[in-house]
Amino acid sequence: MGVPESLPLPALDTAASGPLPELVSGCLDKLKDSRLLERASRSPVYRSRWQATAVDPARVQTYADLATIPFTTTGHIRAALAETAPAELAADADVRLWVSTSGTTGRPKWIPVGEKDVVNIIDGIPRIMAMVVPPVDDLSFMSLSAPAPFVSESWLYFSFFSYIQGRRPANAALFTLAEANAAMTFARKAGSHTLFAFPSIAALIGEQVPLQAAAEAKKLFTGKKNLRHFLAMVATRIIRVKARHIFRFRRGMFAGEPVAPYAGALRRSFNLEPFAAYASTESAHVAIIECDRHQGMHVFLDTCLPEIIPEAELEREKEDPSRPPRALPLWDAGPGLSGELVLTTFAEAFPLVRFRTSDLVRVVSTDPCACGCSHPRITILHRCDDIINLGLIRFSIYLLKEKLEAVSNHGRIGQWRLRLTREGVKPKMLLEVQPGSPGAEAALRREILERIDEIEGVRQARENGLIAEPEILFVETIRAAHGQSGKERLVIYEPAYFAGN
Amino acid sequence: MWQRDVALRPFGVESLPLADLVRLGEERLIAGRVIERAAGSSLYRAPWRRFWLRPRLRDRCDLQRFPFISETDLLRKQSRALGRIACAPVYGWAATSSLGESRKYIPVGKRDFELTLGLLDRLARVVKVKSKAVVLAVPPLAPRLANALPYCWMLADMLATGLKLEFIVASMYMLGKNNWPEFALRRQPDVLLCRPSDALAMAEHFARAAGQPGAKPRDILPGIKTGIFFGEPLAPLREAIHAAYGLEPFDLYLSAEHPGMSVDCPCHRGIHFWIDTCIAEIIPATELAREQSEPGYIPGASFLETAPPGSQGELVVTTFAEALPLIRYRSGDLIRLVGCEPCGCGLTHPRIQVLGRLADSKEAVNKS
Repeated sequence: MGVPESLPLPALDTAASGPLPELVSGCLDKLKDSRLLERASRSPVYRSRWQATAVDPARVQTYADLATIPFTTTGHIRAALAETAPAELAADADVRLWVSTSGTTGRPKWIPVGEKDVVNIIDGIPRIMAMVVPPVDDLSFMSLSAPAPFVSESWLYFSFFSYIQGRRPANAALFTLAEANAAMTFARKAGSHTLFAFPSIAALIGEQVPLQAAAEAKKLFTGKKNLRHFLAMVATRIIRVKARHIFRFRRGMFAGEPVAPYAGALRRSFNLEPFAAYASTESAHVAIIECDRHQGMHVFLDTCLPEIIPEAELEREKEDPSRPPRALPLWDAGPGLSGELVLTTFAEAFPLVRFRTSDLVRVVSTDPCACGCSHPRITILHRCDDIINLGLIRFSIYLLKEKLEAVSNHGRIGQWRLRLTREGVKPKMLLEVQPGSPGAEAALRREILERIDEIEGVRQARENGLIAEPEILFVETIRAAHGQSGKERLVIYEPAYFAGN
Repeated sequence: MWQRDVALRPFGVESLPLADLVRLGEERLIAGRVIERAAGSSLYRAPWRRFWLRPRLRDRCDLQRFPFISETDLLRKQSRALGRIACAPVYGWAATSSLGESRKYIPVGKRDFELTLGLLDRLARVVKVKSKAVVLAVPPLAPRLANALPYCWMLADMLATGLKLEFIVASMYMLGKNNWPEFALRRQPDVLLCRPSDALAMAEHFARAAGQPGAKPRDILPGIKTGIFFGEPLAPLREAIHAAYGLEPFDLYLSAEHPGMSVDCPCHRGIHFWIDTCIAEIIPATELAREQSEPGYIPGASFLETAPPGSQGELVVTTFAEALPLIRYRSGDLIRLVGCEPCGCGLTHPRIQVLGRLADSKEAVNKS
């Protein structure tokens, strides 16, 4: 069959490999030329707040001008979406699609995607794939995504459209998480080379392969007794069958949660090269992707204008919420600087202007990368808001607080602190508890675990093996752990949480 | 973005005289070297060799020398190396709705994909979807072909139809786990695209989202005037859906093997089966009965437009697909030919009614 019709993936173009000052200048030009701010000023997300602070979009010419515009938070977006009829939300744009957020921080938000956004995503995909797939390799991919109305499904279809547009046969097969087993059977038969998935799901599949292989071999032998099936059954008992023995994945493109903790396990089980991508519903057309040097994710300055609010500023903001924190453009940030990622996107239907993502990131470098791409590089750490991040499962710290305060049958909880770590690659909740009243420890532990299990996402993730069993540790005193602002920290991300296994 | 318009040619093909359509189909079969291309697929190698068949056709009737293939053949061939069934570069795979071992995967080539877009453009025009309509699509989960419908329709509209359609894509799987019924109420769609039984199942969720238990969708979603239903026969649920939604239901015949997207028109006198995209045959019920009673008997088939109106039988299709042309594929669908005379809507393609899966009716016969 061959691929006579296929065209090679484009090499990194000048938009990716030019000197940083040129990329920055292009980014600022795009900010002006796209008339983004004028469009945004008519959007209900920004209109009243900008009027109140006398923002004049026409006067924004430089980064310093942009920095005078107030930040936008998820709260602002949520309020605007709740108050505005969907038809009026993007009245200027040709809305083509509505996608929903997962709703981990409240009710799911519905974000419009415009026609130009769809075109930009489709046109931008070859460049993203050029970071991941060597030009000579085949493009066959299989994806395992969340179903509609989530953005990942539409993004994968747009990838497929992009391949067709570029005449690149991709043997693409799109599956939903609900059909993970069917997806893996397909991947085995089709010999797919690239896997698109959530890293925790892929790691879980890799973990289950040895068990399933043994069970499957036994089932085959029981169903039809012949030498081949017998040998297969014996082999699965002697050799630990790994995913690498069954699948031909060479690389995986992972999004939805940090990849680093799972990277080792994915390499070992699938023998694939994992690539991290950053994606969010609100900014689906922004390209933030790791290259084959694996030294951070490149933030493409022609798809967004990234800023960072340093951690010190975040701490000061906690001390004095009335004082807005200061941000600096990502290209001016030094390596190692950690802070909250702020994005201004060039979207048609739902532009983000100085949107605080609540994602804590670290700047890796603004120097050109060995891969030839000169867009700055970052790495994602964790959430910096009140959301507890267990990979794919996220929930509010206030929800946990509420559950722990409800513990009463076998004693009460005085103080507590949640340490987030990992058991193998799986996120693990280690809850330190200082009992508030005497009671039977075993019964109290059971009750706390039952309360935690009332958090739907946690229960499901635990039952499906996506997170480790939570552990309760009774301590006499909770040692103080404060942030720079002096405020007590109820949730601590342990180093193991980022490293994994 | 895209290099070419995907609207199907020639323009007005939906209303060409039947004789011209038959000629067009034959031309596409022969000039498109469908049989010659199909010979490159592992699906046909053994059966054609068994009958000493040379992959060449003189005319359409010559096609009937070739043996039928069925889903069993497809399943057998795809059980190992999937790629070998394709005879052209594969861009993607579409799956049938069945689960487990009986699920079939069909390779999709570039031209197959463009045909799908063209058919969706045609669908929008036949159903007369209004400009700027909001479509609430609730397809089954990927990898089923139907899952791709809303996204492909969006692209077809961007490239060809130009109605500026807006899509809310949801899933039954996320019902109760996401607030999409509530959002649908806020956005007030104009078109509903889903399976008929799903439309009825989601009705109570709309009522709950509206805070009006017992309310009918027609009261809380008054904008939905058009429903396009696929995946199962619409007829048994047509009245119930109309009563619940107050919409005009259209029946879309779609299968992953033959994504012809045939649809009924506003006259609702059967589904117009697009014979410019395939050669359609029917194995009459009498032949099916004989096949069932005489194992090994090979039933006869006649071209769809030559069968008498009212005939019932199994639909057989020969597609002109790029990645995997299906040659005399027994669809497993029991159909009734409604008529071949031009329809009041102006379309001239034969009209059929899909009665259900043949396997189900065989089971019913056996049980009785």
